[in-house]
Amino acid sequence: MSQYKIIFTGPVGAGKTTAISSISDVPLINTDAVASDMTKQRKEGTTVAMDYGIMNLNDGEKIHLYGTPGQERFDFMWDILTTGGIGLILLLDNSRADPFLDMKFFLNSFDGFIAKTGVAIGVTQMDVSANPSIEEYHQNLQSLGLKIPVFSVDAREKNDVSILVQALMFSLDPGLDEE
Amino acid sequence: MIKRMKSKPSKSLTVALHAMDGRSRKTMMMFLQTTCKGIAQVVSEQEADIDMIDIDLMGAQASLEHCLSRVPLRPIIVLSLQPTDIENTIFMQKPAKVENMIAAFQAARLVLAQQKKVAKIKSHHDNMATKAQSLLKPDLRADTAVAVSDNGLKVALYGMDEQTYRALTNFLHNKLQDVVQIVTEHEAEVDILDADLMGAKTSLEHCLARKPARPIIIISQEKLNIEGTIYVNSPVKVDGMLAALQKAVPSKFNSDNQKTSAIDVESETESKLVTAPSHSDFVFGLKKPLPVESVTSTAVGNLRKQEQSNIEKSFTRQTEPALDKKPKPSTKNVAKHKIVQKQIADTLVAAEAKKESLHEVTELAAETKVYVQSVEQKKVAKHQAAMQINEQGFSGFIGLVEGVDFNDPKQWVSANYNPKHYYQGYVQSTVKIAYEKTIAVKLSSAWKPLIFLPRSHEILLDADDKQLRAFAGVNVASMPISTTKIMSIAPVNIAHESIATDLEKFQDLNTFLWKLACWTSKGRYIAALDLKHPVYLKQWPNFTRLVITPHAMRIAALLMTEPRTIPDIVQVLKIKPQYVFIFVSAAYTIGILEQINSQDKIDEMAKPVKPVKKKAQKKGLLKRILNKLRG
Repeated sequence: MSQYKIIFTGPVGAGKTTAISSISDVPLINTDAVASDMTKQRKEGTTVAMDYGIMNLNDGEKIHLYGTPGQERFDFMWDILTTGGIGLILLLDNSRADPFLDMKFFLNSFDGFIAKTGVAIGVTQMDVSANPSIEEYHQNLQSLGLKIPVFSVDAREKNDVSILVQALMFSLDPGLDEE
Repeated sequence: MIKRMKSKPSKSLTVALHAMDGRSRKTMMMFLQTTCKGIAQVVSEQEADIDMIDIDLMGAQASLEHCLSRVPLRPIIVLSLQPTDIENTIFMQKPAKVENMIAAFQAARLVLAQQKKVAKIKSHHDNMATKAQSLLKPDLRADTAVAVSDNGLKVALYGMDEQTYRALTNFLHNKLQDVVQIVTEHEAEVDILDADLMGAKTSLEHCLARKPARPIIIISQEKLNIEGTIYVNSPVKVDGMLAALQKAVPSKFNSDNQKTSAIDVESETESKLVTAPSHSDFVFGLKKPLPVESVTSTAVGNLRKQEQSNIEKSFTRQTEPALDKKPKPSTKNVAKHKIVQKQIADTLVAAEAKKESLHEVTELAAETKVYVQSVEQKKVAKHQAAMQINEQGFSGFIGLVEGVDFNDPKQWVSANYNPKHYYQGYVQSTVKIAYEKTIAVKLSSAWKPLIFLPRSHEILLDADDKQLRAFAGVNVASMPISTTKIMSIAPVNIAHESIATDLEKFQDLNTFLWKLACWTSKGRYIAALDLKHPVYLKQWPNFTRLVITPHAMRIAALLMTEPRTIPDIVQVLKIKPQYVFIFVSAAYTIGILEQINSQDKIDEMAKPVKPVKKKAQKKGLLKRILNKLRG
């Protein structure tokens, strides 16, 4: 079975669970359930501490979607999560007090994984709080020497989440061909 | 036979978890028992030594208040993504790392030890108060019993050994018998402590931490300037103490009060104080150095921060001419005292530096913004998801331009357009003026008026996309002079514009300009760009809110990697030139695409081409994911 994963992370309330639900082909698994690829790593009955969805590809391949609700509490699980990961989707809640701080936190926390793969940032709740603007996110990233896709995202909208993940794919390989 | 004594293992701490759901509780229990090697055991609230609260979770505030109101207060570890400065708590930043968790529990253990010490001192103090009462001279006690008025200020004495306590008690009863009465800690209105004695720091912390706070008088040989305290010079004089008491509780003192008369009486006997036995002078030497505490950064973080900074300030010595005629205190003791203060200050500085290094990783803001734009939510059109145009729908969406064969590269030179000849140019001029003057501006024409709000980067236009697309393609410059051609730009008061009440008419500036450029371009490139010079993207377009023309993401990904000429993009990606032309025109219009005209900059920006060999399997996987996402 494939171990390919796309990891969704971000602060609490950013919309990780919703975003995974938007593009998952199966109902989201997030409480007291056993995920098939986690069985060997867990004892029976242990609570799953993350959200989980699946994207079924045309050839039968599955892409595992892992969300990390509350994952920021325990970094000892990050290495396990990121193993086999294709890339990272970072969702930031624009209604939080300091989204830039959040952004730097997660980019810093996953910097090793990002260096090997890639990241795309989705900014949620922009309809609730329009500031900072996407432009300001880019300015902030430029000051960090980063050029990352940053999109305004409504996590409930499949189209938005899809475009965000597409951008991640293209940033991983600009030569990807659209069929 | 030497019996080897096994060292007693540290007793495992017990902790109660608050504001955590079932999943979090289980994870924390696992974390503490396994990864943290059993440093603490999760128990019920009643049995716990320590409380732990994740204050980023719902309901945490109530739990925190509950824990803070507990008497006696026990150590509280707060978990948060962002550093907090809550008094009487030990902060631990999330994500929880093993070493930080262990340090937090060690700090909690220190706090528990400290509390035991304070309790011991308090118990000692209570005993002393009881003993002192019994040691008072019968006549004095009688006098005291009679002389203490109902309004006598109740004071508690701290940080004194038996002899000192007795001497101060005698002094207060002899000289200020109508002014004060010595009581236990619980009854006192004012605390008095001797800052030059061992244990003074702990006593001071204890007094400063009290809630509600009450005045604290500190007696010392050297002038101390500790926030929240009233200083009295040692050796204590009546007027000095009286002044301090007056300052402590001004309401207890007035000109009619009999206590004032006590001052007049006592001033005559002041000299007697000077010649009194040494202990009544309250010249107290340093019995032994104040302990240099070993603090962890987490301990410094919250529970002791304020108090320690106050104490640190207290050791900023100020010299003052001696007020009394008594010989100065032993310089040896003072020097020793100063050494200890420096050691404490150095320890604090080191602890602060360690604390800062733990915060290299940027913290998370936990709380929600106070200012949330409810109006913004109603601007539905502004936050609509993007439209993605495929190749089949491209011509129908964009429109056609005549006179250019895009299949012939030689004709590409003429496949451009000048936005100044179109509505796009006027809109861009409007935007430019509005930004320069930072005022709302209205573009008026025979067509629809357009308003631009520079502060919020919003366009107000009472026209749908169909109408805009139709007008965007009109070459205004080639038309005969008419009202259509005449456009004016003027400041506008948005409050007077009826359109401003229709939130559906608000559009994001970049979203509007992007589609305007697409419909003006119709597959041509903007005249400002030269096909011979490379272009590059400064940032990714916000694709979720823009019309996504065919291959736009591929073009963006390529131009984010390195600068390319426009024909080069066509060649590398093997796509129609119109797709590249329209993309670069739109990106240039919203200011995220730039052209490099100097060779130096080309060399600077050109990155060494790394032969990136993506595994065919991985490439295929990414493609399949892409196809899945695009439906």
